[in-house]
Amino acid sequence: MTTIAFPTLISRPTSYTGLWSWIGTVDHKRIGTLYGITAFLYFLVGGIEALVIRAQLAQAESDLVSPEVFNQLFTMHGTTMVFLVVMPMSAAFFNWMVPLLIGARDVAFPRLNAFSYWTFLAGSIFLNLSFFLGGAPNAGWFGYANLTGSTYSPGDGVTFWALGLSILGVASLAASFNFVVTILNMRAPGMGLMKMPVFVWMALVTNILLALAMPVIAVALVQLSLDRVWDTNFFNPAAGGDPVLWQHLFWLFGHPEVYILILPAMGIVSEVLPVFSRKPLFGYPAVVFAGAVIGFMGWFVWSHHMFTVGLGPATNSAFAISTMLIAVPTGVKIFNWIGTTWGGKLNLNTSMLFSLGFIGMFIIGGLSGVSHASPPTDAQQQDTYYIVAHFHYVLFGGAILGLFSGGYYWWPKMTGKRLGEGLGKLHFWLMLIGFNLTFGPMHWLGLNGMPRRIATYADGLGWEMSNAIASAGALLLAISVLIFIINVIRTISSTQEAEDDPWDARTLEWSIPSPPPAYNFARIPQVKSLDDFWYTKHPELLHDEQGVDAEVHEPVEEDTHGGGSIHLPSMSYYPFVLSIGMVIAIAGFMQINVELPGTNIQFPWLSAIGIVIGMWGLMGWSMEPVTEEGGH
Amino acid sequence: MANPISKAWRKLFYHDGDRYFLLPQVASAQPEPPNEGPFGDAGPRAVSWFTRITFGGRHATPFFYTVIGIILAVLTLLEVWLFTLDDLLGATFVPLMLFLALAKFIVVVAFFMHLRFDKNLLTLVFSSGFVIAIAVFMILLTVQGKVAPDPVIAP
Amino acid sequence: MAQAAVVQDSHDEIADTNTGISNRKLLMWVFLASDCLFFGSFIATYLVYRNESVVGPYPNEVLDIPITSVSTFVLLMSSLAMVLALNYLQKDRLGLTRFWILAVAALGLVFLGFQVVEFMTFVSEGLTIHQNLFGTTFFILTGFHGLHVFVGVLWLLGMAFAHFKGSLTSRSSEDLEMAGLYWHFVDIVWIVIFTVIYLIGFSDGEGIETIEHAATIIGG
Repeated sequence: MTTIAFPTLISRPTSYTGLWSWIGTVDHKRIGTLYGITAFLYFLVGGIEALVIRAQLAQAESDLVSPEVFNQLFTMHGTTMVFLVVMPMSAAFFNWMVPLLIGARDVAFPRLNAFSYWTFLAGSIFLNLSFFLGGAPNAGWFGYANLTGSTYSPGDGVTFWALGLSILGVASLAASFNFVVTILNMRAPGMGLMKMPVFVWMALVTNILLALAMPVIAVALVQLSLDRVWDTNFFNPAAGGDPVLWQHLFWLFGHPEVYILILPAMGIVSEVLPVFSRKPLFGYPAVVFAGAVIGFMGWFVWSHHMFTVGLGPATNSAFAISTMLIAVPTGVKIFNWIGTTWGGKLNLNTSMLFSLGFIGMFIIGGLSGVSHASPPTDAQQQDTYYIVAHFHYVLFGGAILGLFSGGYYWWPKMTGKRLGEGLGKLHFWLMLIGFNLTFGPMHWLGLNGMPRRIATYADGLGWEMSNAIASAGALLLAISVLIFIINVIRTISSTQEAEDDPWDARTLEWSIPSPPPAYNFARIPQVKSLDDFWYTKHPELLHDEQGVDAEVHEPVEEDTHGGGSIHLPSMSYYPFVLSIGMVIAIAGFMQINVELPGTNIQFPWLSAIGIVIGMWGLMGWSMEPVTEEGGH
Repeated sequence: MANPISKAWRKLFYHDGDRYFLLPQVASAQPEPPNEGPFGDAGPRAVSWFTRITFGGRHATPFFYTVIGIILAVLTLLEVWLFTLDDLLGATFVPLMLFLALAKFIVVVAFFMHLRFDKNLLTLVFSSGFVIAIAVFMILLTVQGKVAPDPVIAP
Repeated sequence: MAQAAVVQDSHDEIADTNTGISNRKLLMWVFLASDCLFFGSFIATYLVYRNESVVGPYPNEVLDIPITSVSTFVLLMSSLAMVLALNYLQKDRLGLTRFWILAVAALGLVFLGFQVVEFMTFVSEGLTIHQNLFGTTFFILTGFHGLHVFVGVLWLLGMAFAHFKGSLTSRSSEDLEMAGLYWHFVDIVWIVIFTVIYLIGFSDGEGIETIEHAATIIGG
């Protein structure tokens, strides 16, 4: 690409240390680290919100917090855990691991990647600012219309929620486009789609789901924001608007979103189990196919969130059937994981324990999920603690345990140091016990009729004991997270270094130094089979495990491509500028005070400033070359 | 074997050691040489008449694009003309309109946006989004009673 | 067909990707697939709220089919101009390229002009985003489409600028191809909007009612 002289007001960052190097970074590993740290901080924030909720509910007729604050807490707890913890933590693993697993030097669009992170960060800060600017959103994490309309939610909270989630949506969309292209286009030579690690497959399915599901929620949020800001009629029943439309649009996004949350964890578990069972993954094509089928079928089950709306028996039956069917591919995966561990030489270290915990807890959550796939049963369980128990078993017992498993597994690769095993195992057992103490009794609470989202409950309903146990379990969960933090601090301050391949693992990222150099692979690997690195180390196993003759598999013949100088994308500030401009533009809708001439439409002037900043960022971005001449 | 259903089945589900679902593969793993005709590379390439007139696999000429543009204009005129007859057409009006819109949509996507000339993966990518959109929104409209009236259920 | 030389595949970077498609082009198509769901949601919202407005003005009172047919034709022809511009650029016929790029941008601006006039007429007839469901869904859907057209015009003017600077040649024809894909997508969205909102929407739902009537008879 030819360079065009452009009056850049900011020169490119050149130093690789210091604050500015992080703001201008385009390195997928650094961006992954940023995602991970941010998501973990929000995990603590969301956890504290949960602890306050549990403290309030520990005993009957408690008045620790007011009902108004309680509404804000459960809304922000749900929103934070879904959008600011599980999704970005998955994004952290995508960023760190996808290029390493496919043998690439970076993602396809490094600057777009930086833009995704900064937009995510700005959007999450914007969302949480609502606590200090007139009250957080309080209409529940799925914000049902018309409770979210200006009539019933007069404050700014819901507007913060709608605009904040729109910003996060832009970040997710940009990231998803990037990863779909990276996975399809940037694989090492020889790595066909069916030779990709399962985690990469699940990343591909997740990002396709993100790319297709995010626009739907974006539209719903635009409609909600316009209803609140410009007085449109989308969800205004007085003008004929239908609140059920919001539910449709939200769950049309919301159900693929469920798989967006769980598929990355499934991918991590599919990487961890074979390594610590000393066996290849049982039925690799079936696991991949099941993941793809889940991604497709996930589009056709959304109305099971709406069984009690009254859509009619035909609709409810159709969605009940599709919901029960989607349990089949999920079950296929579970059998494959069990088959992987079956007869293996199990190495029960922390990462493996978390993966095994994932399987157990996910089965419980999956079974309670199937139980409310049936509309009559669901009518009993809708909006009770049974539902709360179900989705915590799949999202905490599933996604969070899976992500911790990945954290322990890839920590040596990311930092060059191993997390302590003793504290790690303590962390696991406390978390598992605390988790079951917290959410197990909620099944009973729900079936005994305790509705979710109530700030307090009367004495003598028989809910006291279970609630007390749940709150004690929450405390145990908090202690386990504290132990994880101590473990991390101790590991960082220790001097013991991890080997390049501490687990004798199967995939490409272990073939390079820990932590990886900026360019990842000094030579781009040539891939010949699934788990190529493993068969490079153990060529004699190739025939038994893959049905390929060992003679075919010669020692890795390395590509000379890039053997000389490696061109990495140069750092850039423009993604940061663009995302700041975009966030100001969207945030500008909060504050309105210019009337467009001739109409009664209020024009958000702050947005205009944001658009100008954004245009500057966009211009600079498109004018500067990806790699600076003479750059590194 | 010869019938299209079993062919499609094989293409979708058979595993030839490298691929499923007709997804693209790296050049080095290509099992068959490209562009192989019935007589190897000796004779002319086997090109169907449809491939020939639609410039399959290669770029078209400005003349071709102009013809496409005229076809699109004619389709639009037809739509507007049929619109004036909507009372006459009755129940066939809406399906007819949707069919014409879909025809124009496909012509633009296939020729102006080069999907006809480009790699099949791009068609797969775009049609996955398009088909899912059509499917879920048709279901949504059906559920909301906008396509057909709610079935009558005996009390 | 001999002149149909495949110029565009001569990029160096393409050889580096697994699929043989450049990263940018794949990104563009993933974005367009994603945008299908975006406009699909707005169109579905419009259809869910079709014939549900409780007060006027109703579609057949304000929509002006002849005028909109003209603007539809303008947008369609801009698509043709776009593909010609790209075709000439790939053959390095830069004069014709410049002419057609500017033609596309001009036709896009004409379309936007039609839309502005249309909006102002509707407002003067009492249809605003606050008035009823038709106003809300119509203005927001076509407004977002207009915004896409506007972004497209800016993009094309950027391309024209690059052309005047001499940096747009057959070697960088993919730059223009990206703008072209975006532009054609905006055009096909309008094809759907014109049919569904204007033509079908104007015909006061008689067709739908007839189907409903037939279905009632069949359903017993």
